[in-house]
Amino acid sequence: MFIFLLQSLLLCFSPPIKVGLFLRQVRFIGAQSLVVILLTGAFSGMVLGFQGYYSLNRFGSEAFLGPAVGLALIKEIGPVISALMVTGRAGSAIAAEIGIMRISEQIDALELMGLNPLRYLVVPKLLAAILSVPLLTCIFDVIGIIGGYLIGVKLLGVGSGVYFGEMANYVDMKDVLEGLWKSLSFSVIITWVCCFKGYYTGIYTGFGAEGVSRATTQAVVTTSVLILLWDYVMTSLLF
Amino acid sequence: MIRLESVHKRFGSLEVLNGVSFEIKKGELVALLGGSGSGKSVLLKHIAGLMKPDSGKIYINGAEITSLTKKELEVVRKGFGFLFQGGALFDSLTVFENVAFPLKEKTKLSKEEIEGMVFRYLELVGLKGAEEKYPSQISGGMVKRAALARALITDPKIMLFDEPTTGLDPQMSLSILNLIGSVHKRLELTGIIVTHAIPTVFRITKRVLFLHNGKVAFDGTPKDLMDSQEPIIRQFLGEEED
Repeated sequence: MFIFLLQSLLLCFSPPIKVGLFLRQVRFIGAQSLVVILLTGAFSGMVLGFQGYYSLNRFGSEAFLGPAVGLALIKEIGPVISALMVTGRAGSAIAAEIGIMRISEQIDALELMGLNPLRYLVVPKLLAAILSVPLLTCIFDVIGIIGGYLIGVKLLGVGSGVYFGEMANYVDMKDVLEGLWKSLSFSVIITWVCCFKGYYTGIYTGFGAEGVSRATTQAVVTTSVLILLWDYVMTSLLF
Repeated sequence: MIRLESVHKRFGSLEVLNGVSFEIKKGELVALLGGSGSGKSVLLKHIAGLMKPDSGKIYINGAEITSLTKKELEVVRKGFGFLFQGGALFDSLTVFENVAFPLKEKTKLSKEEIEGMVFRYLELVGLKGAEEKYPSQISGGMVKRAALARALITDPKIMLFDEPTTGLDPQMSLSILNLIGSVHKRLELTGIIVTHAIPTVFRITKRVLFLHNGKVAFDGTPKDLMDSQEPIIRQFLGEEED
């Protein structure tokens, strides 16, 4: 599994890169995940707005709602939920698509043409995810902060200037970068695991429709667990 | 050109290839026959280097391919063509794009040259007019013909056909086999055809291998096969003759 990742990463730096396939994947992994990211981002921010306000209110610290929402979203919730959403929407489809290509011998056909299947099937997805997932995370964060603003400021009466002013005071560039590093590493995990599970459909999961279904389930479950596990590792390293 | 020495392959408890040995000379076109599940497709995949045997050796042009690295195998495969049982067309590409794919990726031909060749090969296999269709929009037989065009368009030196006529009507089967026969003569390609189209396939092949219980049970001319009194061959021919 690690050799698969290593080979794919090395191919990212050795031309030719299939630009058409890359752009198609940016649309699939990035643009087409936008709606789900906007929805989950908005509701996550709104829930944080409520929870944060009622928790801080106990200590008379509602003024810190802005930094609480901002830090939670930017450092933790944004990268993790974005990655989980992309896994569910695009990762499962990636595993199924490559799995079907495996069982219908399309990958064998590529190999027999003397072409490296990883260059066509994995590298464009890997590069597209590296570009798209951090961008989706940024969008998630912004929408989440707006969601928190709507609840905290418009509904519960925290001052607008206080919400954004305190957020600016307490959220540093270091926090933003921490979130971006996380989402960058999650993007690699998503494509690595989902492509691997699809690519080796048949060997580890059995052939036929059942094999593809099993590969897809394994891809989503393994990726989700790895994202949470790696989030813990990164959080403990970056603090 | 192609030589197999005591090739064994087992999937779990099932021994699919049980010491297969034969040699095919340059320019020879051989029909590989056998009952369903007798290991014909598995054998082709071994020759193409897509599967590795548990034991035994496979020589292509004198190179023993079971011990080659992926890169070395790519070089050996350059002169290979393979028609897969299900066609293995890329389902995200149109028929035209599928046939053009190996030329686009592996040659420096101009767009116009590729276009000309693709149209010519599609006409040869009777697929004129289906260029813009996706594999999911055409019949199984058409998929097979498009795959044949894709396999032949690079003028391979060794061609492996895995059931090229399955799913085709008798007339189209005959025209596909004739096409394979004419390409074989024109390019002097070495080939193996796995097929159930008996005796039609004997119009273009002079040698037949019959696989039974993971071994080559018969190796001879089509006439010898038809005259054979071996019970397993009589039984097989009784089932397959069209």
